[in-house]
Amino acid sequence: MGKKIAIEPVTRIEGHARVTIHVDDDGKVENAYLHIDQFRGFEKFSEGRMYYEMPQITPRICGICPVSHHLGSAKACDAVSGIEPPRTASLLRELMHMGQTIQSHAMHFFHLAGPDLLFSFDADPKIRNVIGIVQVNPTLATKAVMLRKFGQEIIKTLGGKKIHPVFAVAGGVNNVLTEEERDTILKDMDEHIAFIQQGIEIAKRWVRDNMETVETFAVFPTGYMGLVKEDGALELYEGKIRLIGPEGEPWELFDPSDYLEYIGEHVEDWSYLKFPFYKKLGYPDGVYRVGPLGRLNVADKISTPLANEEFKNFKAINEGKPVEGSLWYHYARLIETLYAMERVKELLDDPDILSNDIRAYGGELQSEGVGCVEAPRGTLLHHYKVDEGGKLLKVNLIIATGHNNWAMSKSVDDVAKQYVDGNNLTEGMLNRVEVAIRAYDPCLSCSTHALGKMPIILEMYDKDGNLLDQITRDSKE
Amino acid sequence: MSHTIVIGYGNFHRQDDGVGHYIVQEVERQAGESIDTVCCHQLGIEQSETIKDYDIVIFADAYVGHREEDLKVASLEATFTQSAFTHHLKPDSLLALTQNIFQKTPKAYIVSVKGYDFDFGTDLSTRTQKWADIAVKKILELSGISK
Repeated sequence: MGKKIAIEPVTRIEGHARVTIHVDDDGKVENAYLHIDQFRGFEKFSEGRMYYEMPQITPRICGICPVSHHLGSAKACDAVSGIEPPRTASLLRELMHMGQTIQSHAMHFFHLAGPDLLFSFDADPKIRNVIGIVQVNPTLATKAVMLRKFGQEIIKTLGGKKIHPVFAVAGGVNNVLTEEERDTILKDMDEHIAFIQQGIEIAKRWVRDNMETVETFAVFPTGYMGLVKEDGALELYEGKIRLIGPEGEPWELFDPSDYLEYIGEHVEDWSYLKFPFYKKLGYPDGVYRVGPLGRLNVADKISTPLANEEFKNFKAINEGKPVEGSLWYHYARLIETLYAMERVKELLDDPDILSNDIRAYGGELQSEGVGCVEAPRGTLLHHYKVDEGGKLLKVNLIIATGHNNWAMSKSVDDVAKQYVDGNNLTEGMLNRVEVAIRAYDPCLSCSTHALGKMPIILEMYDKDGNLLDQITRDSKE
Repeated sequence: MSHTIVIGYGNFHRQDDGVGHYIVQEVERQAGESIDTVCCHQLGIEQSETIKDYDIVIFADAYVGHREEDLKVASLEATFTQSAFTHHLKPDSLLALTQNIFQKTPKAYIVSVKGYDFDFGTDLSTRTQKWADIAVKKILELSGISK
């Protein structure tokens, strides 16, 4: 009779964010922490499964960016199976990846971050939401819905469904793109590009109007990491990992399969989420940031024309050196959205994308394999070790949000010290702490919505550890 | 007859959380093409563009909590509730979004069935399946297919 493994506590399966703020006798903030109270156990319970099941198992880690796990996993399976996918399969996978990037970034900017930018950090929460945006700018809201839908439809066209698609397999993909489907995707392309550019103007206007905040809100030096093409251009699907330091100085350029040589993971006793760092500098000197800000900081250029023009403006912010302010993530995210949209067009214009040559066979099983993609939130690594029959012996996953763990907690600490008054905790203070976390678009959300809840709890303690005050934001607010 | 769509949502691979999917499959089987259906993991803003074209929208979902009844059928009002990070919407928030963006407010119901087992797997618990079958009958009544 088989054994049944229970993972407890089940209420934490989708992740909770908890912020604790510790104040002294005068109510002044001494320290603040972002705690990720989640334990999923995917790495452990995948052991013993066949490696080729992973592209279907690992997307369950997340209901928001399952495509990233699906593709990262498939690339690891390519390596394990010793098979190079045909060019068409790589084009189709990248197309799905661009759909994921577009829908995720659009959702974040217009739905989650937009209310903070279009209203103010202190605005009444009753209007500081997506409905508030609809009411002040219905056209913008409608286009945002359609942009998100556009990305989702690409995923659905290729993978059969918008969330947890079934598409990539070891050595390729299992579905071709038809000419009709290609033309449908291409139909409203120019309109979507114009809308993204409109979003970029909104972000830039907000920055101009709030420059003092942008220059002081969670601004600190770190390293930065992201995939780049051979010529140093921004890359989201293939390429090498580039690590740079706070001044832009090169740290490393390496193949993702060598990540263990360069990336270590530190553990703190107040969070389940590990803290990755650059091994040669140790922790915390070697902490770095990923995601849109990290990627644009490491890139030399962008390969598509419109996004590259905007990228030049981004690079001018700090005269070519890395941009440090956490709020710049929003601007970087939109530039990437523009790139992803332009890249969709490039991919669809490639005649090979309609080919039926979508899967290769016959490789020699390897003992391990690493897959890497740039998920919307940053570099995602899947690493599998297998026995001679292909059964998984060890699984290591470093997720995008994990890379940013130190930076998110640092942002919370900085913002709490800057804005929180320990004698009078207000909603506006809570929102500023949220804004700092939200800039990174952390993926702590739920794939099991009935169980998963995503509250943020802000707790304030005195120096003896006594709870002084608490604000809980949940879906009822 | 009113133009109806049934949206079943939840995680099909977490047993009773997939009751919305089961209900949609049963509605498809019993009502054929007279009712449109969608299965999804969670509700998102883009679905406002879908539901705006219907007279009746019925959301089918699992319920977990302390409520005593196993099946709850309730009409929904368009009311937006914001959460801090979540990318999915509650059905009343989706309705509110649809109302605000497209000036359309379909008549809406939530049909929620209490879940008992959310372990890994695709089978419903016996009790949830029993009430899911009753939920299907209620949905067919709401959409005017049966009385």
